[in-house]
Amino acid sequence: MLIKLATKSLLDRKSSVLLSCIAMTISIFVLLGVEHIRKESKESFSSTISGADLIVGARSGQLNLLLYSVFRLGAPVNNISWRSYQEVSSNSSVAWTIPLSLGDSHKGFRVLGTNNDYFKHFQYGKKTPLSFEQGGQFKETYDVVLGSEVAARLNYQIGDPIVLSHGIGETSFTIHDKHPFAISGLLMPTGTPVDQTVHVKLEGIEAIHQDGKASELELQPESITAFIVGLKSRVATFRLQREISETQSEPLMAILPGVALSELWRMLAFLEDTLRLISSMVFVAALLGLAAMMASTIRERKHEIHLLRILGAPPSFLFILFQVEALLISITSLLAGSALLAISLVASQKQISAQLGLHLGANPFSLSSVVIGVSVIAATMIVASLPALQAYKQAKTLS
Amino acid sequence: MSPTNQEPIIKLSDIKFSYSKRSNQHLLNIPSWQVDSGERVLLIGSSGSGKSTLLNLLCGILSPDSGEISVAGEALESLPTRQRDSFRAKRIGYVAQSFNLIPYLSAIDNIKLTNYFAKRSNKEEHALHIEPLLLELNIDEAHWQKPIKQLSIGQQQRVAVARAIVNKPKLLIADEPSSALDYENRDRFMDVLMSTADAHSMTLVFVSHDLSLQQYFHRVESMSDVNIQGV
Repeated sequence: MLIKLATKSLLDRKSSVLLSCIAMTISIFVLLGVEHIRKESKESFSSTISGADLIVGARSGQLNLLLYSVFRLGAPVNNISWRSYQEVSSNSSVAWTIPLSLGDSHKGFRVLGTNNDYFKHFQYGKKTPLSFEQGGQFKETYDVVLGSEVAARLNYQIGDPIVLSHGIGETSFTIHDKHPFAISGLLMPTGTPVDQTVHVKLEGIEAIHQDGKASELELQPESITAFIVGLKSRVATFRLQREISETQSEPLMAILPGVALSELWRMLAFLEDTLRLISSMVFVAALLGLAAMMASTIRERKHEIHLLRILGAPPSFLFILFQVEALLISITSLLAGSALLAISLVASQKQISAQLGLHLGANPFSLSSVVIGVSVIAATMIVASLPALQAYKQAKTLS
Repeated sequence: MSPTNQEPIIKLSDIKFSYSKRSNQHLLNIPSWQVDSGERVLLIGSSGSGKSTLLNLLCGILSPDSGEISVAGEALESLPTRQRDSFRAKRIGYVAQSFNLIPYLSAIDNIKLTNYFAKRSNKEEHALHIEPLLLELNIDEAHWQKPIKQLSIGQQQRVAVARAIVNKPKLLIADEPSSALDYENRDRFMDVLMSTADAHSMTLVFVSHDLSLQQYFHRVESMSDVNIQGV
């Protein structure tokens, strides 16, 4: 009866209740959204690379190197020479290396020049290696392996020819159309930037830039952007890192992906806290709006309160009635906010992963969202106790 | 039906009440007043005479600053507030001038709400059945499930009577219930109210400023005789 009374009473005041509900829904959407994106982006970043001990590139900041080599974000500052790459690869403590050459694009997707070691050694998530959905690794100079998203978005099949362009914009004035590439393999989805990458052989990249008919031997690249190093034993990590940094012939830098990532988290922590604070403030504002709406109705519900008293309702019933009404609004908004978030995640997932390389799961429900949900309800009960107390007083004194 | 010689159903002695606790000016100052069981009393008073406040005191919603109120054998001031609330739900039916019903609930739900408050500690005593009661009060079945605000004033007041007596109260209190009705509706309403009070042998205290209603009552009292306002 209490729930029925509260529901019908809210429905009777549709317009003001609806506005409060919308305000609460939006604030809960923001609250859950910030938390979800924060968690998912961390997860997404952390699972992008695994099993790599060092990343080597031209000397700059460690974050910069991490972002452009692994996340395909930003632009590399400089290339490193093929000779330096060869030297590090031949180091006795090195188990494997993956060369990375960036700078070209295909219809907005970044092109990565590498070799077959990439498919052999690159790992993501929890040490998961890459696997092919169709076809296989490079065989010819002009072979291309596509990430799952590229293949899906551009609707490519094995054997289709594609043309690369210089630069990383969607439109480019330099089109390497003399050298059509052919698709030799399609990768399984990984949920990392690999999905948005067009993989070609280093020799292929070299060939299109030499712009002439060069023989296989001359296609040896002179420089690459960066390379990933796997060690035989982790013990050698810091020694090799120091050796690389002290290379005399050119300014090199080696970073530990985990350390660089934690620097990223530290930098983002402030931003995260700010976002959290802002979203909580938005919620508190919406909640106060709800309390104000409820308090303002006490005057117009004076007769209703008196009537309930005459029917035998104790003043505490009015307190509970107001609390239940606030909770109904809050719970409705919580459900609507979560639904809105889930819908917008599904709708924007592709866009976000294509533009930011972030893979956001569409399921916003997790332990932390449960914590937020419980906090929302608790905060509602606390704030709603103000108008509920007024209703209680009104019921008691009838003044 | 004439007044019986039982124990009075309402007994007031030395009642003083004011809303503002600071002033010495009492809105109500009633040395002694009583209503016998089965009696139908018309209390005449203008607005501001304290009649609504007196009714709130009789219902136990408000408590007097001093004095004793006994209703249906219960000394109200000795009851804990909780019990006073459920006593009111069970023993007192109340029909006001307006706002007798929750406007967004249907007639049936309004009556069920009254049952809900009375039932807390009232399991053994059965309330009247809602449907026969609504039929008895001539309320069209088509209106039972509609929100109250969609009914006419006349229909609303009849639902209000049904709501007031559903728990078979000993005492029916009416606060100008007919003043919002036109003459024709008023007479019909008064007939319904009187026959209902008789059929369920309830005591009726009816407050109004309309002396023309006196034909319906055993006793007519002026508020100014009951309440000696002043220090």
